[in-house]
Amino acid sequence: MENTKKKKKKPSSFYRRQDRWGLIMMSPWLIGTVLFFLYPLVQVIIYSFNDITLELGNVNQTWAGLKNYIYVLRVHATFYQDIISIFAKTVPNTILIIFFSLFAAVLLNGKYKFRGVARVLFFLPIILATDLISVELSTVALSGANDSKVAAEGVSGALMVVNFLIDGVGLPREMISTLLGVISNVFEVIKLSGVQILIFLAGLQSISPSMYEVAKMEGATAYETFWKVTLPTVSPMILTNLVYTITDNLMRTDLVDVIQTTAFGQAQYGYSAAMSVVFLVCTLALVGISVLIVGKVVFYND
Amino acid sequence: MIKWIKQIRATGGFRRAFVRYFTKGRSNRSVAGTMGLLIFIALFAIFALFPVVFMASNAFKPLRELYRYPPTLLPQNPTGQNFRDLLDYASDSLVPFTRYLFNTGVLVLFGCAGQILISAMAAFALAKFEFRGKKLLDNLVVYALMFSGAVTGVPNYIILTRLGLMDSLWAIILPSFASTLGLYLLKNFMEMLPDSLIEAARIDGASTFKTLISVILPVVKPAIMTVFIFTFQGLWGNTGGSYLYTENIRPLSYMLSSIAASGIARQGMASAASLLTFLIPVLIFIITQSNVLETMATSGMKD
Repeated sequence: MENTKKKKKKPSSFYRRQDRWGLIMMSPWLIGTVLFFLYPLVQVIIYSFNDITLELGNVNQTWAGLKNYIYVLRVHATFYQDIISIFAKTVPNTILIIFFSLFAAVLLNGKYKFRGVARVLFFLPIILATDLISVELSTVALSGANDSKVAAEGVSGALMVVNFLIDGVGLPREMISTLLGVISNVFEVIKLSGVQILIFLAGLQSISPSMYEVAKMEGATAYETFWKVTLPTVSPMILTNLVYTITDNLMRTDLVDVIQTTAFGQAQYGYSAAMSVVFLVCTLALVGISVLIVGKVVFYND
Repeated sequence: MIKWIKQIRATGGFRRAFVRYFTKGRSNRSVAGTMGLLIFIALFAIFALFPVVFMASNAFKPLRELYRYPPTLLPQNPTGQNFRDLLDYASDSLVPFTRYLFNTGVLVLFGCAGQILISAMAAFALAKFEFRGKKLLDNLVVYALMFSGAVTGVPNYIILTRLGLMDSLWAIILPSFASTLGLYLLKNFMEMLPDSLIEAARIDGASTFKTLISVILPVVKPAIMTVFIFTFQGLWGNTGGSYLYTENIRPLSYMLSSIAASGIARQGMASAASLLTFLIPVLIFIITQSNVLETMATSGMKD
């Protein structure tokens, strides 16, 4: 994912000018990142080794060593199991989402009738993935059940599809829980791949049409064109999407809620910080491993 | 009809004509391949449309039907009562409806414009400039991509308090400027642009900033539109959470979500409200989609 285009230039006045401009152009983003990303990150790590109490916006810290970590990993009732189950779920989901969104983007990039309509259809899930709307959908649709999180995953829709399959198509009633699982998973994958589809689409747009012309003139089939032209060119986007998908999936889990309520609900800021750090380390490890694996096949067109 | 049949005959059988029709004669794809793809699109369409139809029909269901189990897809006694209730609620509420709308407008406008401009500047620098510390910043972008504000909640809260931004819309707008997804995406695109494009602009005497605004940005428009859509999406759904506590400055989405949270009797209204919240981003997407999907492949260069 590093920029492989590197030009060795002698430090000339032109080089120095670039030096200055580069930093000027970066600075607004850099200030934001230091303020709202780096500094909070360092603070969270510091907090995780301290007992924290808040008084009118002032932070009282007392050194606590590994106490918070021991609590989070050993004493806390669910955190340890949660984190394992969440990561076990994220890996297959990510793979499914990446394949699905690439496939969908390739389809949407093709030229055929009703393409505009198809594109709008594929965009709908992104909007549905907004927390606000899915929450409202769930409170309405599954008001009988109390578990709003289940409903937000699309079970309400899945329930109706399953109902249809059993009553309408005549599938055996014993399959109900399997069907429900499969279909709500389909809803979930579709719901979470909106941004990825857009990113892939933008990548596909940047492939020069002349490449396709050449492929077509040489008699390549659509299948060959996909593997030899499309896939190599969008491979940097696969990395982007991989990182985004893993992060996005993890950020939508209950664990984030647990971290938030531990801090803002129960005022256990130290515990919350330790949870955040554990969560971040696991995220980094997961992203790191997958980027290492996928990064080997990324192709840069230099 | 006769014209069709003639056309089908002319193109050599129904199957060929079918493929020609759907692919505009562009690719060498097989008949089975085209059929497969169409089936896939159709299946996807069903899955994507289903929740939308469900939501739309909920908005027209009377309360009694909303709670039916198993849920029905279409309302049996469609009614506009939910929307009338929503209108009444909006005109009766303590803070006028237009105020919420204004707040959301400010949020979305400043948030999107700021984020796109800042990301584009940084992306341009990272993609096309050589400067000290570039490698480090490059890595920082990638790492920042992996974190979300959710885990640094407490320090973020404290920083915003110290900056005196708490309880103002800036508490939501400013942190969104540090977002990395847009920057990373734009950087990837700008790296693909030929250097000669920038050199040409420079030779013609354009300043760095001018080059960015009038040469680079138009070329990466599809990427910009993509960034716009998901920035908009994020800000549109932002309820302000624990950062805003004066009713006067809360966004529209807060009002709508508070309706949904206010009990069973208001669920009809809530489903009408969620249909409305859903429709606006859809409209925005339909308007921008031709731009998102416009090709940028030629990037203004002739080899």
